[in-house]
Amino acid sequence: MNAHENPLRSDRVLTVRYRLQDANWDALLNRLTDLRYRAAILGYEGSGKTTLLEDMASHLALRGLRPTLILHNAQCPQVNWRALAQLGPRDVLLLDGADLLPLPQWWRLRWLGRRFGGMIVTSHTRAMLPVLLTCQTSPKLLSDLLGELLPGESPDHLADHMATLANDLFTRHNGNLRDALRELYDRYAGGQGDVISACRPRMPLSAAVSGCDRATSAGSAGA
Amino acid sequence: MDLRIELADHRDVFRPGETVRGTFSWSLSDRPAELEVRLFWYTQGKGTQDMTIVNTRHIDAPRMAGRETFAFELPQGPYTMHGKLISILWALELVAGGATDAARTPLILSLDGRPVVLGEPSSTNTRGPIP
Repeated sequence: MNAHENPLRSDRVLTVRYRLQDANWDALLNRLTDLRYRAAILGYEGSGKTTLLEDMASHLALRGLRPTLILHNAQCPQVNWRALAQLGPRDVLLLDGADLLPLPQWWRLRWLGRRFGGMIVTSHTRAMLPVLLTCQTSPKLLSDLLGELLPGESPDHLADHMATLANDLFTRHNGNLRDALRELYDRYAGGQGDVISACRPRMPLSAAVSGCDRATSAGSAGA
Repeated sequence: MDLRIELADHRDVFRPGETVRGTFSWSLSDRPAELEVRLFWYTQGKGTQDMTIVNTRHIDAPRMAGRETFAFELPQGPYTMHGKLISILWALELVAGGATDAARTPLILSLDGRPVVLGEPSSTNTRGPIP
C-alpha cells in the first residue's frame, strides 16, 4: 500500500485529538485557573502530551488568552528567546518538552515567565510546575483510536480482533501509542493492511477466514 | 458556499515546465476579505508532513461571487510520486477568507504522464500517456 492510501498516515493520525479521561475541558480549565495558569502536563512518550497541549491552545484562545505554542524537541532544539521576551500578561506560553531544556535555560524561562499570563509545560516525569494532568494510555484507548482510523469503522464483528490488535501493540510498545500507530502504518505499507491479518500472529487461521474477507473488502472501500 | 477550480480541457496531467491553466469560481454568503488560488505540492505518509506553495494568484476584496482564470508554470519537480513511506502529491487549492473554506483539485506532475511508483514496474501503472 502506498503512503497516500495508508489509513495510518500522519495527516490522518493528527486529526485524532486528545481524549480527556475522567475529566472534561471545563473542569481542566477551572483547575488551570486555580493554578494561575502555571502548570505541567506529565506523561510518557506517545501518551498524547503534545496533542493535549495543542488542544489546550484552542481552548485558551476561546477564553480570550493568547497561547504561544513552542515545540522543544530534536527538530526544534533552539529556544527563540527574542520572541519569548515579547510575551506579556495576556500571553500563555505552552512549552512542549520542558524537561529537555538545560537547567539554566529552564530557570531563565521561569524568570522571564513571571511576566506571562501563564506557562504550561509538558514533561515526561519531572514535575517542573504544579501538575495539571498526567496523560495515560490504555489498550482500550488504542482500540478506540484504531476504530476511528482504520477502514471499516470497527464494525461489531471486528471488535474482538481490534481489541486483540490493540492489546498486542500496546504491550509491545509499553503504552506508547505513537509508536504503536507507526508500527501499524508499516504493516499496512507492507501489505498486511486489514485488521485481521494484523492480528494473525495470535489467531488461528480458521477463525479469521470469514472475517478476513469482510475486513479486506471494507479496507478496499475505504482506500 | 461554493468554491470551484476547473482545469482547462479537464487536463490534470502535466510535464515539468508546462503551464496549468483553468478557471476558479466562487459564490459565498458573505463577501470574503480575500481569495487565493495556490499551486503546491505536499507529502503524505509516515512522519512530518511537508508542503511547499509554488505559485499563487491573490485577489483582494473580491465580490461575493465571481469567476477568474489562472495560469501557473510548473517547476521541474518534484514529480508526483508514490512510495510506501511517503507520497508526493500536487494540487491546486482555492482558499477564501481566513483559510477555513477551500476547494482542492489534484494534478500530476510527471515526465511520462504517470506518477512515479517506487518498487513497482511501470507497466503496473494504469494512467495513460499525456494526450
